Order: sequence, then structure tokens, then C-alpha cells
Amino acid sequence: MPSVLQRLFQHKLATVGAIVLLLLVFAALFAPWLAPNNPEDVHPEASLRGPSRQFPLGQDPSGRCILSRMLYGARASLSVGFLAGVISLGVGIIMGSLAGYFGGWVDLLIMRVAEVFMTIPQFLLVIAAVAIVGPSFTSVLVIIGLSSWTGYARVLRGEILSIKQKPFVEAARAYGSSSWRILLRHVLPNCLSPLIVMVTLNVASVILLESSLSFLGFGIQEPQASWGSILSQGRAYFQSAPHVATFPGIAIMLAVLAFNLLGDGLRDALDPKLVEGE
Amino acid sequence: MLKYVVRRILLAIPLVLGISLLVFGLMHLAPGDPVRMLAGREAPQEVIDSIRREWGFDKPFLVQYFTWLSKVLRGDMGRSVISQLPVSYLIKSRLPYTLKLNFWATLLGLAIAFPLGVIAAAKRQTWVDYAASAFALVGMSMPGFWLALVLIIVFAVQLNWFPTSGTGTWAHYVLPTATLGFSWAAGLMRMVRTSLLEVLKEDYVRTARAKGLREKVVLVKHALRNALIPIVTVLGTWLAYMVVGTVVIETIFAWPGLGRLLTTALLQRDFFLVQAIILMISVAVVAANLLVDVLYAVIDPRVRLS
Amino acid sequence: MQPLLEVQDLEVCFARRQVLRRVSFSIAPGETLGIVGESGSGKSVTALSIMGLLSRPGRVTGGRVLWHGEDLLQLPPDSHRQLRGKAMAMIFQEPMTCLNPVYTVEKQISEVLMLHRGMSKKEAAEAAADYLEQVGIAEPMARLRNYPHELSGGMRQRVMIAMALAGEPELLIADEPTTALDVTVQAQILDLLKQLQAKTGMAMILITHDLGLVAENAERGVVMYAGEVVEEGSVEELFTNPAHPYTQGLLRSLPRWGEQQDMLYTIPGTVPRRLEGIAGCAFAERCPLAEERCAEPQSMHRFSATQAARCWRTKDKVGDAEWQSR
Repeated sequence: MPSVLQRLFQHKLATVGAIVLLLLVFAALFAPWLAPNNPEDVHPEASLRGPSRQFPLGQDPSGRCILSRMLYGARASLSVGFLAGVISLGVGIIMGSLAGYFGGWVDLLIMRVAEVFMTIPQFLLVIAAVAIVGPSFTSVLVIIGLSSWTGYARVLRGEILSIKQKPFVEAARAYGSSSWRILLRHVLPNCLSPLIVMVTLNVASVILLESSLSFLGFGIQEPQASWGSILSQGRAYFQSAPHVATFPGIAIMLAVLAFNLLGDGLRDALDPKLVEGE
Repeated sequence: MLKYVVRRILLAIPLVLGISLLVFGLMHLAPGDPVRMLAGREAPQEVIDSIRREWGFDKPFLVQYFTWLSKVLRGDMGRSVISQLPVSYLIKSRLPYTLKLNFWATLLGLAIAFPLGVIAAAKRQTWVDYAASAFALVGMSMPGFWLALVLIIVFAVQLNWFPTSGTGTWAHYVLPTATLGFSWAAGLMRMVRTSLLEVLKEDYVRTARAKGLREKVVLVKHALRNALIPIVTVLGTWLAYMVVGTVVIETIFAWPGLGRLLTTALLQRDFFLVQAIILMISVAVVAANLLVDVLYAVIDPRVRLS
Repeated sequence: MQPLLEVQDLEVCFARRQVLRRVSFSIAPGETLGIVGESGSGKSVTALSIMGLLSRPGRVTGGRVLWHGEDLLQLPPDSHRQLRGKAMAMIFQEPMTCLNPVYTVEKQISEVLMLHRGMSKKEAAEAAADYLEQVGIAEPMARLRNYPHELSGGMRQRVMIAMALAGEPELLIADEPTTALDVTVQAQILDLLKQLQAKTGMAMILITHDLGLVAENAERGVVMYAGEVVEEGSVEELFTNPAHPYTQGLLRSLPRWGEQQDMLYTIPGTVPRRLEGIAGCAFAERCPLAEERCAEPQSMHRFSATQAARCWRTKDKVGDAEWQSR
């Protein structure tokens, strides 16, 4: 495994992605210390004012400090990304293992359901479900998490099906080993690489998805902020005060780009085949 | 070939049923009475009662579902609780706008992605490749709505070349088409490049070169044709991608299409309409995937036999 | 007579790794030359360099490839391209993957006819059927409409040969043309190649790891080891009187008719992975006759009018005769 890390850091773009990501996580964690102002202090008289010494990225329609709100917003944006990613990974692993392990009608049913989830555009499903349940930090992350498990399930199922064919599994079973244990021992390590890459890229798409939701007003609700919701407030004023929409947009792009770069780098680093082909 | 197509269509039927079940089930996610939600918050009691009777909401879930399904199959998807117009009428009046926007955006996306992807693969590890790949990565990471705002600020507000929103003239098409086409092109370009790079390692590409064919012919006729096979299989996701873009971009540009109809319906909690739009788009995705399967068989002779 | 093709001191690197060192040989019009060597000896790289098909990270770093006296390496790439498929054609080891899966046999053969012989689509289709018949494919009209995946390996190699013939080349390079095929098909394909060669008068470079194939099919042979030509001579000379210990080893490892052999001989050791740092004979570390001077660079030493080897012992035997690869 150390060689994987080495290869990852040889990948310059992936290193850049990892560094940007660490910085963003750092900013989110230490928002209370880094923020120059209280993100909830309103200054109606300074509505939409551009960047100044006290407000480095300017002020939003209620005169709140955009930089401070973005630092706190990073918490929402990033944690929705991570948590939804973890939820979908978990659901995916469970569904995939059930389908692969039991086979038969369980497999058929799960894979049909997965197909349904893959066919309905995720964005529509999520935005409708969030609107119905009521938008909030929790509903957004749970619903996104529950709607993007299919990729993981497919990988896991495929791996289990191929492992089941292997003679050593038969042999282990003959000796009375519990097949669940065999599967977990052999399956998870084998599909670790694709799963890691998928999670990384998945987090990127979740962040993008959340920002679209928040932008349309179906995401994180006031007074809590995410980058998407800050941007959305700037939308009405972007002709006169473009800074409100510009900076959160850049933050979203940076975060998504960083995850994408890291994901690409991980894919190359975890798959030696690809590297040698270059 | 015919057998293959028929088989695909038969396989799509349970899928469509599954989709309809999920879409219908969505409405039951709401805390409390789904009828109250479908009818809208301020609906008087008699409206609620009539909806409950008409759609069988006093019966068990599966009965409700089949009542709803049989109505939908006959083209009755309910009425908008806000405008009281039939949902099918509303969709029919908005659909052309969405189709037109998506058509041009797709064309633009293809026109950007294919040449760029091919050139990047052909000139691998040169500055052309790096520039194209950077374009793709940035394009994929940029939220579409943000790109739309930037384009509006630059081309509509500052330069005043195009209107900021609305429809009517060709000029109205430029910015929404550009936003939608550009974001889609980024991902597609990457796929074209990767797929082509894979194919360029193949022996038959070497054979084509050994024949003395021009590099352009080798690339387009021999390599790209094969590279298309994996690209076509994911073209079904193209529609899904366009849908997301459409919803956001129509909202920003006040484009009177399905996407905007959906966001308005969601904000007004007009759920008959929401249900119908999601169902329709999902069925369109199924149809697109069917089309892809057929296209796949046309492109790859190996599929036709099996 | 001017040789058809003359390779002089060809050097090729893959990225920074050298894979060919001072490779020289020549071939006369109509002649069959065998190039023998283990995998990794540089046979295929030599062939690809002649064809101008070397792909990144491989590139020619020195030497000349003279075609009718003109250096192909100095030609603009497009002029070299125009020779491919027309003046010189090549068939490959893997018939299963060498044909484009999405085009019919007709399309793939016609392409050559239309490009190099200026035929119309209709003429090309007729000529393509003709070529299929020439390479011994039954029902050529029906086979034209087939896709590669519908044909067997032997059949695909025949199609490859038909495609190569379609340009009416003066030189055909066959790179392990039978290695991937069944034994019975192998003989058929080689017979076919010989027979076609007799008919068209084209020269052929037969690349193989099998010395036996060279004996049966070629007039002269070039033995390559670790990116270098170690011996060259007429087939008779190579088989009756091999000069280089490597050739001798190869010969000993061939099964023979009528001789009781309990076990086939194998040359001990493996081909060196890197040539950097080896100034002298690359075979020395596996050579039973190696001496100290083997670490020094040497040129080919002439053994007879047609035979030469890169070994000091040859020089000891025949003295300092100047060798010019013919």
C-alpha cells in the first residue's frame, strides 16, 4: 500500500486536489477562528457592499459577511458531501452484498430496484423528495445518500459473484467456514480500490447536487448557509452586486475540482495497469 | 435484430412499472395526508374529498397505485391544483421549448466534445491535450447555474449582446444553449478522449496504419468508430444529465420549458404536476436507453448476433 | 544488384531505454529473409521501424533504412505513409485482434485497393473477392460480407494476407504470422505465403522465434539477440555451421528427426532486461564460451562470403576480414 500513496503523490494534479481539499476541510473545521465576523450579524445599511477591509469578500443582501458565511457554509457543503457519500456507500454495500450473496429472486429484486433508481434522473428524484419531505440539512443529505447507492451495489455484487466461483470459497465452505465471513474477508479487500475511487467522485457530484438544490431553494435553509444557498441569494442581485454570487461559485468549483482530481489520481494510483499503459 | 429489439422492449416494461411505483410512492413520503399535499395547503375540504374519492385515496396503497396507473395510462394525470388546467395540457404546452433548447445544446455539446476529444487523444501528452483536459475538468466541476450567471454578467449585462432571459428570437437561445451544451460537452469530451485512447492501443489500429491510410482516416474511420461503442452505451445518461441542466438553466433564464414548470410546481406544491413531469421524463430516459440499445447494435456488429 | 531494402546501424529507444543496437541487414528483391530471436530481441521493433509504425514512446535514434537506396527515415512522414500497404505490407501475430471488428471483410480489403490502386468501390469489391480466392478462402463472395468475429483465426490471417497482397507490395513483412494459430493451420498459412511469393515475386521478411520455420521457408537468416544482430548467413550455413554460440544454442534446442532426445536442450539464463551498461556481447552472461574480451564492443566478423557473426571466436578463426552485409 505505501506504493499507492507514493504513486498518488507522484500524480501532481491529485496532490493539488488533496491539498486544496485539506485546506477546505481546515477552513470548515476552524471556521469560528478563521471567520473575520459573526456570519449572522446583519448590517442592513451595508447591504450588498463590495469587498472591504473588514469584509474581505463583501456583504450579502442583509449586509452579512460573505467570507464568514462561506467559511461556515463550507461545513454544510462538505459535510453533506461526505455524509451522503457514506450513506450511499453503506446502503450500496448492504444491497450489493445481499444481491450477490443470496442471488436468485433477492438479487433480481434488488437489481431491478437499482435499475429504477438509475433510470429516474437522480436530480428529479432528490428535488421532489426534498420538496415533499421539507428541505433541511438532514433531509437533503439523507435523500441524496439514499438515491446514489446503485453504483456501489453493482460493484460489490459483481465482485461477490466472481468470488463465489473461486475454488477456495468452495473449499472453505467444505470445511464449514461461514460463507459470510469468507465473503467479507475476500470481497471487501478486492473491491476496495474501485469503491474508494467511486466515493471520491461521488462526493464531488453530491456537492454539486446539493449546491444546485440550495440554489433553487430546496436545499439548506436560512439561517444556516451552504455555498449554494449563499450563491442563490446573490442571484437576484447579480447584475448590481456580482461578488455575492461569484465567490461561493468559485468555492463550489474548487471543492468539486479537488475531489475530481483526487478521484482521477486515486484511480490511476490504485490501478497499476493503467499507469504502465501510459 | 428484430428479436433483439423486441426483447429490449419487453425488458423495459417492468422497469417502467417500477418507476411509476416509485414516483407514486414519493407522494406518500410526506408527513400526514398525501391528499392534503396533492390538493395544496389551502384547499377547501370539498376539494380534498373529491380528490380522495376520484383517485381512490381512501383505499389501500396498492389499490391507490393501480387506480392512479390506469388513469395515467389513459392520459389523465390529474389537474394542476394551482391553475386547474389538466397536467397533460400544461406539459404539452411547455415541452416544445425544452426540446428545442436541449436539441441545440446537444448539437453544441457534440460539436465541442467530439473534435476536442479526438484531438486531445491524437495529440496525447502535448499542450493541446493538457488544455483540452483542463477545459473538461473545469467544465465538469463548474456548477451550471454559476456558469449561467457568469455568462449573463459578461455577455448580457456588460456587452449587451444577448438578452438576459426569456424567449422569442434566436438571440434568446444563445446563452442557455451555451451553458447547457458547454457543461455537457466537458464530460463527454473526457469520455471521447479516454475511449479513443483505449482503442488507439488496439492491433487493428496498427493494421489500419500499416495499410498506409492517412492518420485522419485511421483516427476517425477506424478508431473513433470503435470508440463510439462504449460512448453510446452511456448516452442514456446524457438525457439524465440534460434534465438536471434543463431544470436549473430554464429557471435562471426564465425559459418557459418543463424544467421551469417543475421548479414552479415544486415551489407551489403542485404535486400532481410534479408527479407527471418526473414520470414523463423518466419514461423518456427509458425510451432513450432503448434507442441506445438499438444504436449499439447498429454500431457494433458483434451485438447483432447474440 | 541494389538491395530492395537495406537497414544500416538502426538504433531504437523506448523512452530512455535502448532496444535496438546497430542493427544491419539487407534483403534482395524476391528474396525471403528470416529474422530469428526470442521475444524481446527486437525483431518486431525492427519491422515496425522499417514500416514507420513505431509508436510512442519508441523512436528511431540512429541509422538508416534504405528502400531502393533512399533513406526512409529522412522522408517526410507522409511519403513514408504512402509506401505503406503499397510498396511494403505487413501482417501480424494476432489475427484475432488485427482486423477492425466493426467493418466487413470487403470494406477492409477494398480500402487498400481504393487507396493504393485507385479503384472504384465496385472494382475494389470484385478485386477483393479475387484476393480472397487467391489466399484460399472458399466462397469468397459470401466471406466478403462477413465481419471478423464471424471468421476463425486461420481465416482471419488469410484475410490479413489478402489485405497485404492487395497493395501489390514488393516486400511483405510477416511478424510471427502463425504463432497464434493451430499447428495444422500454421503449415497451411506458410505454404500459402510461399506460393504467393512465387507467384508475385515479392520479397518477404519472416519474423519468428522458431528457427525451424526459417529453415523451411527462408533463403537467408538473421539471428537477433537483445537488440542486436549476432549472426547472419544463408540458411544452410546457419544450420550446418553456426558461428555464434547463441545460434548454436538455438540449434541445439530444436527437436530433430531421427534423433533420440530425452530432453530438449535449453539455453541457461534469460535475455537481459536492460542493455544499458552492456558494452560488449549481450549473450556473454549466458554463453558457455564467454571470455574476458567479450565485455568489449565488437563488430560483425566475416566468416564466409555470406556468413558473419558478432563473436571474437569467429575473428580468431578467419582473421580481420571486412564485413559488408549484403
